[in-house]
Amino acid sequence: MTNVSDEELRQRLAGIARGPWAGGMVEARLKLAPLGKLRASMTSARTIALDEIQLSTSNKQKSRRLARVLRPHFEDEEGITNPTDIATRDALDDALMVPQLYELAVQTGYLPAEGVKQPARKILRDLLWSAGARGFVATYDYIAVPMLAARVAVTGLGEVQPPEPNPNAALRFAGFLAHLRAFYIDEQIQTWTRFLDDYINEENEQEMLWRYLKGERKNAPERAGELLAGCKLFVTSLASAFHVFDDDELDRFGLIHAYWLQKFFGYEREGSGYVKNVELWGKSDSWAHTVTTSPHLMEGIDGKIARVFKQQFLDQVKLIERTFKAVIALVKSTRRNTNQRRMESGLYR
Amino acid sequence: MPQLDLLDRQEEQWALLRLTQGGAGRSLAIFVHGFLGDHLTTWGRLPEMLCEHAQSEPVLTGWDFLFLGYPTRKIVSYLDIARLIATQWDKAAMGKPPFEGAYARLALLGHSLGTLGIRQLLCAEVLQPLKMLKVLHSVTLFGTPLNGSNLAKFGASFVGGEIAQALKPGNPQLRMLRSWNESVQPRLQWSKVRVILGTDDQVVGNEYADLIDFAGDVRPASLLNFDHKNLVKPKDWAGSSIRDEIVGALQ
Repeated sequence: MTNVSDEELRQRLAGIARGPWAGGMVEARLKLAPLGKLRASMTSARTIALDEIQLSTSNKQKSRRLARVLRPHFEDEEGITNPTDIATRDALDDALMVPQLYELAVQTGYLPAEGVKQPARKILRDLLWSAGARGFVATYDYIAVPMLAARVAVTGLGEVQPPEPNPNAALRFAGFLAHLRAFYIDEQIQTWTRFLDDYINEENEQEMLWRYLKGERKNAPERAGELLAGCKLFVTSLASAFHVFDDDELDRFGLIHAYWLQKFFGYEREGSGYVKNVELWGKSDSWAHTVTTSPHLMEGIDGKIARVFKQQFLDQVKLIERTFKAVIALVKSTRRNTNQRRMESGLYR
Repeated sequence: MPQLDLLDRQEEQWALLRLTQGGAGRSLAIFVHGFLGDHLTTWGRLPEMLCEHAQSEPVLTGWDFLFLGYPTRKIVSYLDIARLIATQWDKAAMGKPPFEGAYARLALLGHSLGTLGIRQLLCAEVLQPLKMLKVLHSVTLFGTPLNGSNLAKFGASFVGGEIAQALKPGNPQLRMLRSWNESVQPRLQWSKVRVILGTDDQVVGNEYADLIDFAGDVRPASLLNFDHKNLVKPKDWAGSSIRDEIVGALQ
């Protein structure tokens, strides 16, 4: 299905580029853009070598500053606390949605590789000219980005072999994109994801909700109903999207939602990949566990219907947990391969 | 065997599966999703299966397929969904872009809330493009809320926007639609409406199938062994009863 007309190609590119994450791209370009024009290092095959670009003195300074802002959060005990730094990192995260989707679109035959070449090269050069930004991509496992880079003749993000496109999966991508656009504009889902991301409305709101859902506290926090509804929509939306994929596709598509999945299942991002946040959640607890075992989950619904709805909800959580496990395995294997390549190339000697 | 082409308009929330340079004289099946769904994921792998198999199914070779979406929270009444369907059929019947050539025949298939939008379009003559009922081949409603939805009783104020009120059991909009349907169906005489319900559907249930009669519906309603969500998500093509219903609707 990758033989598409020019108009169709334009519409599909727009559907990706103008999603709810488009604002992040604009902001990331403002915050991460080089000062003045870059002297891109091109080889004879018009390959852009990001790690060989000759930087001006002012761009070298900017590159050093970006490396600080975009450093791995787990290297600092306190994490990233500066609001300006957080805004820059968030903008880059949003912006990286576009090249990730381009790559998935090519893999599924939704877009022809040739069709994404020009916009992808521009994005990769504009955003990833600095070592700090390229380090961010490696640290946080934007695995599809180096694959796309390899496809469109951009180097400097590590050697990877992008998979051969499956020309018959375009509709699977189209469905995922429809889900993703809806997921990111849904106010109720945002209420829940912002809560997962520690944006709270009253003191100790997370602790209060956790205790309430456990049945250890009688009074619900003010937003309990709203948060629980948002959580249910979060689960339903993800499960509807993952439902159409084969097992061997879950990891690639699940990776797009990895940040929210780790929060939901009580994990955190470390240098080695995703690890259970035992300090916060113990060995088995998480928001997923707390919500699914809560006596308040189906409050207000009649007995038989409540049992059926609860079972459906549990099945949905199981599916997204399976997806998250596939993501964890993908990240782990990618890290292992990357480290092995580094060893082989003598980088660690 | 040739596959159908995909026209995907994410920003306008529709996807069209069509034969290359098709349109003129062909038939168009419009699929309308339900509450909080979207134009593609609601139907699971159905769009993919139609793309792959429609040209090898004799009944389906003359059909193109439009999956139509809408943002649930911006919908206030069934009329809003009806207008969206009417707009697309008007363009298709006239051969206006994005359609190439004038389509000659129409089938409407809906799920859940989408079925109420379809029923509304059948009743609201003033919204119907010229001769729409004359070329209407069939109407198929999956998991239609004959008496509203149990889901809407719970958390409607949080999750569904204004239209969630119009899904509550016995709500005024639904009562009005039923009376409207009762009043105009004998005169307009649209194609028989096939209702397909799920044995495990706890969202809209199936217990009202024998109690609540919408004039013009085929009696009795069909019953498939699925819950509400899976009633429109075939797992495979060859052995699926959902596929059989769709092929039956377009025969």
